[in-house]
Amino acid sequence: MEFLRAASVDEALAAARDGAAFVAGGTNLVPDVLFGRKKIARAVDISRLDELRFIEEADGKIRIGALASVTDLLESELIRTAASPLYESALEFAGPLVRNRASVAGNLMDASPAADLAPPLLVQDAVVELASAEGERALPLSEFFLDYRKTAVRPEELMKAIVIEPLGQEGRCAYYKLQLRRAMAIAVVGVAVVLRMKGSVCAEAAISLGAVAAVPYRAQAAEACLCGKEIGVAEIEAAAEAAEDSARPIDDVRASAAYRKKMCGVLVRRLLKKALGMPQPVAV
Amino acid sequence: MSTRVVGQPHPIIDAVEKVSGATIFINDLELPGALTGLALRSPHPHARILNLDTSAAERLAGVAVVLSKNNTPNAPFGINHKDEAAFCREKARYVGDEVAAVAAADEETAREALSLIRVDYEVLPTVADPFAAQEPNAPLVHDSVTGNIANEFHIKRGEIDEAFDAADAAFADEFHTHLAHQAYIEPTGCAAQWHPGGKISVWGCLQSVFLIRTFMLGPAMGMSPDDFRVTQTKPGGAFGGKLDVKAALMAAMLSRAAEKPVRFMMSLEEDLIAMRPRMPVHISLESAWKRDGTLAGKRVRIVAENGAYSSLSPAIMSSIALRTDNLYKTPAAEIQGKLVYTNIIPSGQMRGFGNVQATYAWESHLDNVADSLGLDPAELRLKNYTEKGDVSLHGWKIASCAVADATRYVVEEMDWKAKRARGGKGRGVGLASCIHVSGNKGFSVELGPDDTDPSSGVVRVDEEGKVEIWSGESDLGQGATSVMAYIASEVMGIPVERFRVPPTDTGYMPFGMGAFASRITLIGGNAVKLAAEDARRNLLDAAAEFMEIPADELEIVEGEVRAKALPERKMSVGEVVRRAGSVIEGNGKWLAGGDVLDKEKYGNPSTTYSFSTHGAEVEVDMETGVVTILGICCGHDPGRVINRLGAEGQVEGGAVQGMSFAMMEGLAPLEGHLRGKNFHDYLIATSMDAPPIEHDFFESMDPYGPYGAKGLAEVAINPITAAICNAIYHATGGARIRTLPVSPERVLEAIEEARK
Repeated sequence: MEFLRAASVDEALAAARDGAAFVAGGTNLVPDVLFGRKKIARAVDISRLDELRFIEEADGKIRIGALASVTDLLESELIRTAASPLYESALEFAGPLVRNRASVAGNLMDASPAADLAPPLLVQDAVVELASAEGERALPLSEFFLDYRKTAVRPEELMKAIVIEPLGQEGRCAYYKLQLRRAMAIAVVGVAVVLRMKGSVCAEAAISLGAVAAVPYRAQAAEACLCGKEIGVAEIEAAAEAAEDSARPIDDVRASAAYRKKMCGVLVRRLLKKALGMPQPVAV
Repeated sequence: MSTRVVGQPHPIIDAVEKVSGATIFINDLELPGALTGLALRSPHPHARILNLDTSAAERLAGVAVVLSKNNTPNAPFGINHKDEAAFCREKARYVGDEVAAVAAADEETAREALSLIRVDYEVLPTVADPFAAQEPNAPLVHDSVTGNIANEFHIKRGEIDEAFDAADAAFADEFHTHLAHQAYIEPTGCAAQWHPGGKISVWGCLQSVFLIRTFMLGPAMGMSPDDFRVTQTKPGGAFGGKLDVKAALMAAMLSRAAEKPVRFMMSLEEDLIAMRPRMPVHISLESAWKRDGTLAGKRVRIVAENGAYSSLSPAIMSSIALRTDNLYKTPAAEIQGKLVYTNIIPSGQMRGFGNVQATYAWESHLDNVADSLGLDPAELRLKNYTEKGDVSLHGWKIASCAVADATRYVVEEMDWKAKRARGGKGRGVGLASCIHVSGNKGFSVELGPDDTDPSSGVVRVDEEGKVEIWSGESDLGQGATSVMAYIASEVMGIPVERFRVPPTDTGYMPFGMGAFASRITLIGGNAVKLAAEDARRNLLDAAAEFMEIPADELEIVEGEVRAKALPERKMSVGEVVRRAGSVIEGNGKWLAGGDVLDKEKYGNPSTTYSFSTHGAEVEVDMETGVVTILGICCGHDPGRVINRLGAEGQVEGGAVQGMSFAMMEGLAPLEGHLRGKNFHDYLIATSMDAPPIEHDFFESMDPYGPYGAKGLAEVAINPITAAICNAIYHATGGARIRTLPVSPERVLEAIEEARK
């Protein structure tokens, strides 16, 4: 394997002209290579490109640099207040050592169906900024994941930032990761919801699910049950049912497909109620 | 008895060495010129080896030797059944089975050599299910073993049929446990050095340096056990898994063939797929009761999963079958066990030696019974516990017992009565108890020199007044060497800091059976105590001559020999040794009590028995099945605490390890392939998962124990699984976990079943 350390974004892009694996925290890539899951011809180390490590407000949006670490998310007041599902997912992300190294971009590029940061980024309409020697483009996260561990990012492209819509005053949200232990665990199901309320009417609804299909995704049928409506128990039930119907999980060592599917309904129902401050039969 | 050292909290004697990184573990051991040894393992659960061609690997530059069935004799070995060989002969029987091994100049060359070995397999149908394995037309794991039955037994004791006929009520349950690994942090490794003349030195983290020579190395290599000098390296974790360590055999065979030192270090994945994890069992229980909650009799049927090879599995099954009968006054019992070969990793011993599984099943069943009889589960237990002086149905003699005190403590500490009154709303409490041996005579016959389950110790005092203890009993991380140092320090009046207990070494140390069956504190501790008393006597005799004061008028205080009447007349211990002109030594040997069981498994297998009761409080999410353990509370009867810090470590470690087993662990075999073969998919509890743990000790002052002490290692883990499952049952209003581990999914299924 050829290993290059880039001193600038341009250098990284030039080195990747014919395709490369970019290495940031290495928390996915190193074990993948070590255990033979990935064969890499050229690795380009971008971990020292400090210009890609930031979390900022720009044009009314939140821009997260590709190299921002999961710990950076936790230490950001902006993320905590204006992207709280992302903040909560960062709390449940692996353990402190991994959080210190793992980058936000790396979690997305790994394209695991269970990528912890994907559901909360999806519900805040994330758009990723991609650059290559040929130029730059913006790609909505909802079009980013193509299939199991497959993204729309071209081999020569580098992710520079992720842009999300802040929650704002009208944003109501909730997040939950169902896992088999309290740290260093892959999600059995990950759910994030954001409801943008205009008075008592839901102007926009975003519901995303992780670990229940080949890719993390927005449950649009479930969202449609809520959009433009005053949300009551019937709407929530319909959304929960639609979310459950939308799931296409697999059986694996962590849980059965049937359980995961069922949990999509349970958790969407619960998180919608939680987001709206409605009473719950059982606390999350 | 008032004590100066015993019962106090001390750091483990090599704590500083360990935490400062100075300890030499096996992977740190450097042998000049050592080759790297690696094994080629079967990728198939069951396959006939049609052809095995190692010639290309042998020709590779840097390869010293390639071993396989082609160039090693067929020398089967095994503790109960001689069903295993160093390398697969006609068949590979599990994924991980050793097909060949290489020794090469470095790891890269060794890996390349493995890739050059050509094996033509005929893949055979996998025997994965222990029930299907018994069907008449099932494929056979070992062609000569019909029905795939490795062992079976059927025992009736007492008037069992009458007990059920006359009972006011009878209840039945079934439970299933899973394949879980010891999950020690240090991967297994061994090094070996062949010496001209034919002797071989072996190093490794081994629970019994003496016995591995007799049950594995000697027979498998056609050599005498005395041809091996086995030295323990400091333990990086074992929990039962480092008793039969095939890496020792691999290293020794490669070293002999190459006539060079060989280091054979396994990867974590190899450890997970090819060591000897905790045996999965399927337990059917029936029990008969009087209306007032008096146990009248029980029937137990066990199907135990042996895996591909037997090792200690027959003894583990026996332990599962009989042990819980001795915790309660059981008038009659009928016990049937079947041990079944499968094409899954051979199962084996892990902390509890089957008692974790047995206690989970029986203690879960007891709460079902209590519920059906309308009795409090704690009261039901207190009504039926065995007591000091009892001889159990199976012949166990209870020399000391404080299990009732432990239970009363848990009940009080957990605010049991108030919390039991509020079950069924997602929050609940449960408890469970256990009995465990302190040594087991059966092992002495199967593995040891004779039926005495012996241990010996040597205590040596040098000219600086420092003391070295030689014991044949291994420290596997449980703190055994510290226990020995504290016992000897107490006896000899010499401060603990002056003691050193080197790792076991068959080259110069006296014989010991090793670390298993919670035997070391009782048996090894008694041997060291006798040796320390002998050394003290010898010191005082020598000092008497130099000080011209009769020995019986002298005492040793703070490392000084003093005249009892005139404390200012004193000599340091080191000075006594200097004057004597040589090391002053003491020797001790202790033989365990109890009997070898008869053919019907009747008898008293251990000198004495330890007890514990664990309680758990849980919160259950009734919609997802997610369980949060809010707290654990445990009471233990270890006879007497020798080292309070060490004992607390055992208790807290046991509770967390047991909770981890109960809640999340599992190698998760699927058609013979393990799915939990790294610490990413094989989950063990993290510090985030560990709940607050309250505990206390109830010292029954055992008449046979050194200062009254018995074993603690295994009673610390056995009951927690059932305590958690009973708390879930209480919290959910009747969700009974019958299959482990307690995944959210299983809890949800159990909740739904309970609602029906």
